Amino acid sequence: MSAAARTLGGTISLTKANVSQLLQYRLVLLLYGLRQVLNPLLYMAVWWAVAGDGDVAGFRQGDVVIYYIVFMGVAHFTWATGYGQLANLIRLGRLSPHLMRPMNPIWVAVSGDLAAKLSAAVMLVPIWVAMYLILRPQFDFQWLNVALFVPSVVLAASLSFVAGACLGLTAFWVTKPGPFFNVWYNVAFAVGGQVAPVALLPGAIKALAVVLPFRYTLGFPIEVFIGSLDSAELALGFALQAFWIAFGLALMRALWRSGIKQYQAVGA
Amino acid sequence: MRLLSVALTFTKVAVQQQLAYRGEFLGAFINAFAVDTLNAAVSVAVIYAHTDSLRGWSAGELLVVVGLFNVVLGVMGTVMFPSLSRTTEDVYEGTFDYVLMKPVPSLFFASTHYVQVGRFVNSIVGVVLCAFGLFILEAGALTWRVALFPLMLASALAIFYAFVVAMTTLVFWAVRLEGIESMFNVFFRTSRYPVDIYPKWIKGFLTYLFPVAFVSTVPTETLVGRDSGWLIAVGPVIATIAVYGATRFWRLGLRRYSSASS
Repeated sequence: MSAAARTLGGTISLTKANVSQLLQYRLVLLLYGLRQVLNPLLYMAVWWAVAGDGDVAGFRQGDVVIYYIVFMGVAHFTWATGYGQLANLIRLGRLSPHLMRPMNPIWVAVSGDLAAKLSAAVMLVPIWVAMYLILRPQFDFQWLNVALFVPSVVLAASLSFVAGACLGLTAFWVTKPGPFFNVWYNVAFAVGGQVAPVALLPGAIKALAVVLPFRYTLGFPIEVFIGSLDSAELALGFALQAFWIAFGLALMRALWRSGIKQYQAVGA
Repeated sequence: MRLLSVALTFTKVAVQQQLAYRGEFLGAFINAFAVDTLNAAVSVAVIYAHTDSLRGWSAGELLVVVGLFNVVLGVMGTVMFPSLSRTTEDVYEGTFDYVLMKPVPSLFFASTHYVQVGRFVNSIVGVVLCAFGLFILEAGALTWRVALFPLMLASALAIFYAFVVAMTTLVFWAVRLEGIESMFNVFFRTSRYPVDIYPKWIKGFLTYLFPVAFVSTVPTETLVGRDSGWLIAVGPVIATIAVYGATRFWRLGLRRYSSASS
């Protein structure tokens, strides 16, 4: 069996195991679902009020509603959770058995991540459909945008995972990297598309938001979906997404290599 | 008076124990700062770049609302949640026996014995946000309503204390109860903004059923001199009923407690 096939097989079985574990904790899933829906709803209400009968920077009330409904989906599929597992393995010294296995432990984090996404989707998909049916936003779907949306979400999820893994790997040096994640996600929510679509951010913040990686883990796919970008902006967006993923992968590799050398498996 | 000194002792012990872990402390500070200050600052800046009034609320007023939310969040995270969530563990493990044996009322002990000092940072951040909001408002002309502010804030704390006590009391039936704080926070976070921004039916829900309106919206209205109508009278009434109901419920729950390994 080739190394790649072995890794794939290993990741799939770990994901299955993780899904069955997670499905035991239904209350946790319910909480996660509620949080994923209530936070965007708040900002939906804000921008709905600001848009009023007219529009705010081109967003009419219907656009605001569809933006935040799509947000609920994108935020779920791009919220990386595997890093926490990685950080815990390192901190508690439990990374050791994984190092003996014939695949890189980073795939443990990948499987944890996939499992969280799949099991919570069971709870979330009905909520999204219900939201759409209740709010019935006026919106024309463009099939081209929907087609571009799929790769942009996959790229966003990958970028988010890589960023999370980089933060998680700092556990080799820092005992509890928890606050780092919080800072990352809250900056992402602030300038990446939750508080407002990036198009609505004021001047300097907007310029920063376009360059920094946060938008490419969250807001960019939504903008692709609702078709608020012209072709130049689309091309730039995908290019920056690819750039940040490449950058993150290089950083992740460097962190792993230097971290594993000084890993002592004592449980810090 | 005796109870007060007992509570102070709990706090003193907690401060001494937890100040030993400076990293944790720094973490709590970074969290409160990153999560709440940054979010508040960016969202207020973004919203008011596009409008002067959000359903009648100005930027300064909104900052006061966000600030008060943080003040209340800090108080609940410092005292109520840590103690009461330990209590649910006690009931599960049977160590609640020792709580009952203490020479102070069980509910008092259950809701004060464990203080998490770092969480108080939220309250400090909140006060700063409020002050900044009032500064922007140039609130020179204070009205008689300001006098009601402490009462409103106390009502808010009492209402949510009662809520948390009632949720905790469920442990006597459920035996194992986790995630009360997360569950509560999911809904509680809706009070970061004035309830006026929500559609009518949600606003009704947030005023009477899960009354977060009294956390930040109503106290802010008294502070900045907006008219909140008869809600000023409703707050203390709900608070009184809620606390009375919660203590009765607690006593009912106590009778269910069967001790030992359940």
